[in-house]
Amino acid sequence: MFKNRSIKTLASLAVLASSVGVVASVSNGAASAATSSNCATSDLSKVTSPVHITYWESTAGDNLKAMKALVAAYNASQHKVVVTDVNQTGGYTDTWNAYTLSGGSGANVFMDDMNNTQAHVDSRLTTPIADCVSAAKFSTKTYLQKTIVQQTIGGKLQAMPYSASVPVLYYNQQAFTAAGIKKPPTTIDEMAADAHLLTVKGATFSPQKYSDGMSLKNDPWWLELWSAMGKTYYVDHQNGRAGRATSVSFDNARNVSLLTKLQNMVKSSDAKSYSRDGAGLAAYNNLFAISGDKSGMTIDTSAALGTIQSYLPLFKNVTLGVAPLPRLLASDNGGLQPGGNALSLSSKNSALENAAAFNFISYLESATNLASWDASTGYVPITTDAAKAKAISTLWKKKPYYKVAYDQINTGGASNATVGPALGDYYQVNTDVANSLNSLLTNTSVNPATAISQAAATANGHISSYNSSL
Amino acid sequence: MSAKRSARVREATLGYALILPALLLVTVFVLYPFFRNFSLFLYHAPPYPGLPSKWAGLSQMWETVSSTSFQQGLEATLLYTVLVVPIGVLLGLVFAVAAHQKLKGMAIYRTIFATTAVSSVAVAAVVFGTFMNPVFGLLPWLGIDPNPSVLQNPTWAMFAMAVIGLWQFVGLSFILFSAGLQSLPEEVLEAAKIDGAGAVRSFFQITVPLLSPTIFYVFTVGTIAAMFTFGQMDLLVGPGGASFVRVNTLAYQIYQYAVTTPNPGVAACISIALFILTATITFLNFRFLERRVNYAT
Repeated sequence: MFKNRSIKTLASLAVLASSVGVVASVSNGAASAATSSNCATSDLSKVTSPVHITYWESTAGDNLKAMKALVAAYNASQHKVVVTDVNQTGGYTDTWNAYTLSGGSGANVFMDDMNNTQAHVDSRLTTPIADCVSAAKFSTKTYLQKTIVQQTIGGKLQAMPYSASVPVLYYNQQAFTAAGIKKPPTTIDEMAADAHLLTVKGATFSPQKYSDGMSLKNDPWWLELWSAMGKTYYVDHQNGRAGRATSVSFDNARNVSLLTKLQNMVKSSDAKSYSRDGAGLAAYNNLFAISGDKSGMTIDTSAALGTIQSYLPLFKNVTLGVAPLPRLLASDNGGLQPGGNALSLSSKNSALENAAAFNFISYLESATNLASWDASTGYVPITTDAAKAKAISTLWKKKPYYKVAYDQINTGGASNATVGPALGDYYQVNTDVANSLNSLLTNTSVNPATAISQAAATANGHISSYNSSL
Repeated sequence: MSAKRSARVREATLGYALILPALLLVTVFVLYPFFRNFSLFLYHAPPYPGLPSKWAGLSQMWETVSSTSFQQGLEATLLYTVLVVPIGVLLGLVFAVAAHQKLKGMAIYRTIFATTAVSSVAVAAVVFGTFMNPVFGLLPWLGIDPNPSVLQNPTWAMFAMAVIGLWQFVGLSFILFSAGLQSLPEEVLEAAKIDGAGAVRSFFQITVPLLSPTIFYVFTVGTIAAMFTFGQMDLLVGPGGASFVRVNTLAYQIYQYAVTTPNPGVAACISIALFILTATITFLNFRFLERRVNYAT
């Protein structure tokens, strides 16, 4: 009986492993053979009965409500296409995994992490959206060029950028004023000095009121961003954009210096590290540390701005301040690479389905609808038209800190160095860097140079194994 | 064909028809995936469906089980099992004996203990994760503010995982022991009482031997379940920190290689290794513990 139980339990786990290999196969030539004939935009105008398409997205909370409203408005606005919106709970990774397990037939159009586009190309389960852009004569001129360069792999626009965000420095203006800090830090050295002031030298508070100075979230994304700010590559072959990435490039003196500075903040008790993971509200501990008067500042995604804004009235001890992510060197001028999500087309779509899906995407990305989406979610407008729309200009006028993230993406020009890596095994490398950050920031006896070299060695092994498996 | 034979055929046909749905489910969701593992582990499987697999032979298995991450996973799995199972069996037994009294309100007491068994790991993780939260949890409220926090600390994270596992396992253990206690012959216990045996002596010399089949069952089932735990690791720590804080159990590694960063060949290797490990421990349980079981009730 017991053996049967163990067999059963093991076998259940094995379903996960085996199912990856047994779901429907996909034509290897689909992506490479893509042409504008993949997108029958002219046929769509002639259809007499609507084309039904399935859209997978992974929004949650208020963002989900806003998304449902946009889909409903699109369906009501025309009679050629009917979109069925399927909310995939669990985030981008789960949506992408479900999509690959469906062999590309689960959705006609889906939302995924902007950083996962190389995996789409490797999987051959998506069609480059460039086919539809060209067939529909859709202009990407008004798009923030970093979002376009980021989604371009192999010379073709693979996915349509949709929601963008970048990390910003959140700080409590009341804490800064009390500590005698006149303006937010612009470099990491200034950030460390301010964190120290918050812990020991309050003008109107007793020493140690802000015991942690700064709450540091251990997010591996930061390493990519600080690399982009300094216009240095995160992986080889120009961030995997001049050729397939074969090894990481982040094991360098610049990043050792960066991590040493962050570790020193923890070592001197001017900062406390918090995990980026955790159940319930634990992923926001760095922000709760501010509302709980433990720390005076933190770094987190600008996409959290909407949520922070809605909870702010509960915390009278906090006056929100938002500043650009401090630079490692004052001379760093690369700006920030966008994070967020992009919309992709399935390689299983017929030309008509591609046209229908792109028609829907075009609707979502009209200036008015983008502005409405961004204003209700806190995401950054990805087109200059959306940025000029009334919803956004009014918001920026009323709450100027919403514009901080937009300006950071717009800084530094779009190049392979400033848009982040194109890496098929992105999530595994991300995990390797997270482990290194965790070890550095929770155990201050760990040498930063050793930790980053170990992260690089592990990540290189994973990249090599991934590349050889394709 | 005689009428008797025809009736037998009809009966057999009906029997097979009745078990067919269950058989199909077991075949599709248990047997096929289980045996599929044994072909997957021989190939470097692609991360996406439709791409060709490459022959790896036994080398992939050797590379996997000799890797540092597998060895860390093995240590984490065994440590978790050792922390949860013996204490869970003991506490379940103690609570079940305490609840085996004919007192007013005992049903409520039994229900409270049993509920932990039916709470999902997600609920348990959120509850305990909130207790252990370094900003608004129970520990900072008590003035304990460890840096790094419990869940970020390689020394304490596994104990935190074990507390959650224990909380859930004690409920199951309690239910099984409560059922076992109710089936014990009252006359034997009463005879011992008449012969002058005290509560402690009765417990160790009569209750425990008579409950030994249940104890063995709970221990074995608990061990198997503990070997496959990864829910609280995923919910409270995540793949980014699990290996650093040493809670990256083998089952969690299988999940990561199967789902988070797909590498089905490696997932299959770890699945097979974990199967062999669990089967061996179960065999040893039978070989050495079952000798002490008294089935004569």
